[in-house]
Amino acid sequence: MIDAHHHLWKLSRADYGWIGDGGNPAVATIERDYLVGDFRSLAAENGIAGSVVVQAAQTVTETRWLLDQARASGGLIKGVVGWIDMAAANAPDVLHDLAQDPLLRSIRPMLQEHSDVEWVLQPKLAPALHAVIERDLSFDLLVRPPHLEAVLALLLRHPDLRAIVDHGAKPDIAGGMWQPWADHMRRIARETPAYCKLSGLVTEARPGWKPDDLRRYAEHLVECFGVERMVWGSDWPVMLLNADYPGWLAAAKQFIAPHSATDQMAVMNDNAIRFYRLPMRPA
Amino acid sequence: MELDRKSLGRSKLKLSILGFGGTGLGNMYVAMSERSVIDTLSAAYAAGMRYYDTAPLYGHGLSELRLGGGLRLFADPGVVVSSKVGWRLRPAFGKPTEAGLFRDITAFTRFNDYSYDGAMRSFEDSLNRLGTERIDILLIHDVDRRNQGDRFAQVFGEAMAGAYKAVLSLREQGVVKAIGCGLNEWEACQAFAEAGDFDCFLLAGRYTLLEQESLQSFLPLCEKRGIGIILGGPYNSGILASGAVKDAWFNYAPAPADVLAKVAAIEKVCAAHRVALKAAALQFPLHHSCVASVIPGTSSAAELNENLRMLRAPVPAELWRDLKSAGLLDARAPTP
Repeated sequence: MIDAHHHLWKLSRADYGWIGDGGNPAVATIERDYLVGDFRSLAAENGIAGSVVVQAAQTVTETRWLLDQARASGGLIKGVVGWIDMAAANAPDVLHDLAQDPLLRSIRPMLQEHSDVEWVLQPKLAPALHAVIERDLSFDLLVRPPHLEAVLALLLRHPDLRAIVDHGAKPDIAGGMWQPWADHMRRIARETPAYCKLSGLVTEARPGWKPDDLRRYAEHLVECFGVERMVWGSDWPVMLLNADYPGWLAAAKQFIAPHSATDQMAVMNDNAIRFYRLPMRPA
Repeated sequence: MELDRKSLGRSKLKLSILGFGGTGLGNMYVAMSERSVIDTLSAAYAAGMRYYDTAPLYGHGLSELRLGGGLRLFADPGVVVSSKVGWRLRPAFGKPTEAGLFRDITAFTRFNDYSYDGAMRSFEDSLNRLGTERIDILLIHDVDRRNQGDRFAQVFGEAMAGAYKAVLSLREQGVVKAIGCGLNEWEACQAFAEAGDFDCFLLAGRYTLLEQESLQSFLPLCEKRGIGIILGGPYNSGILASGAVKDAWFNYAPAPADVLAKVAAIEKVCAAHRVALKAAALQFPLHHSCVASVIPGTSSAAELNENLRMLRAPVPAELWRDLKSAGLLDARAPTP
């Protein structure tokens, strides 16, 4: 299996903003370093043979650090989702430099951090988006439900952008949110070729959640996007705020259990390899 | 150039010992350009390859379409072709169709259909995509635990009652020359071999330099019954080509630690005999009397030429002996 979404962080790097300076009590329980060694043990215990590590800081320095971690991971980390300042005039050049490393597989601006939900639609991002498309990189959408209309507009404007909605766009599961999230996700699935990650849902659920709390949301995503465009990820260590790794893995497997073994394998392994173009040595 | 040919079990077909695995033509892992497709197929034919395997699943028809172009280029009735039934295709009407490990594929989506009618329609669709009136070997595709999971027993029953009857009838009419199954597990092959009258099995990855469990009961059964084996995935998805490198692949996924360790040990013995791991991996299965052809997936002319070189590389008998005495190779495995 491939874990297509996890993080690593070393707090002394001190560019995370949302974690590391003791100023965010919401993340106090995961405010420690999480490094390749930690992930390796989890991966071995849970049958994870490869992974994609995702940026957690809005700096190119962190992306370079993640590329170094991936390179030193002995092949466990197969790809990196990095960050560039999409709005900067030199964004295409920065991307060009980063993309010299084949481990870079995707770019993720942290759209959820922008109070302007239409931030992603501003014309000055176009050169960076075109650079992503030109290099056949992917584009990770870290958004919340209020961003989804802008996401749809973006994807319709750039039909060649190979995008994936992280964490099903984080519906407020604890609060019982359904619409307009449900319809927006359906439209994105129907009108664009975007993928969606089966990840992050536990963080939106109430403490002590049961799989049935998440089921309706997970099944809606799978129904909309189909098993061929769903990609499983753990969102570890963020998920530790409200779950443990095997608990979420088991819940996710349960949600896709009605599908054929081929299709289950697609969600847990094949789709990540195909979507992120994870490196395969010629046989 | 010439390549040796071996009989496929008791069938009348003779396959070149190196066959062409058609997953690459369906853009598995990487997207091939049309130019590269023609170059690769031309190189294969020029090298003496006279057996080509494909399936509707591979790139959702793309592999068959491209192989069809090659067949017209070869214009040689002596070329043996296999395709499969069990996965059918239908137009996706604008919906994205990418699936599994196949990229940049046709506008068709796939679904399992192991019924009699489904198999017949699938066979005709394959003829149309290949642009040929002849498919020599027809295989029932992916009825194994990897693809069917808990539904295996049920799907097995459906396939024996449906698709099997269809391929049997096609063989009786002389439309195809041999029938079998294309599967990822020897256990599933054995179940079919015990339930029906099959000429051959395309077994992916389960009789390789890395694993020989199929010697326990399945391959002896094939020997007794004169069933031929086509060996797919001789490199076990890459690891027997790449060696135990950090990003090696095994069984369509990144390789786990125990597999890496075993391959590293095999590599050491190979190195002591100055044999490339790939050469040993490609040649090993062919020493079994049942194995008529090995068919590594091929995505470029360069890969193809490398496979040909590996097939012809000298491998001393001492290599097999040392692998066996080190417990890395089943002592029952036939070797020179």
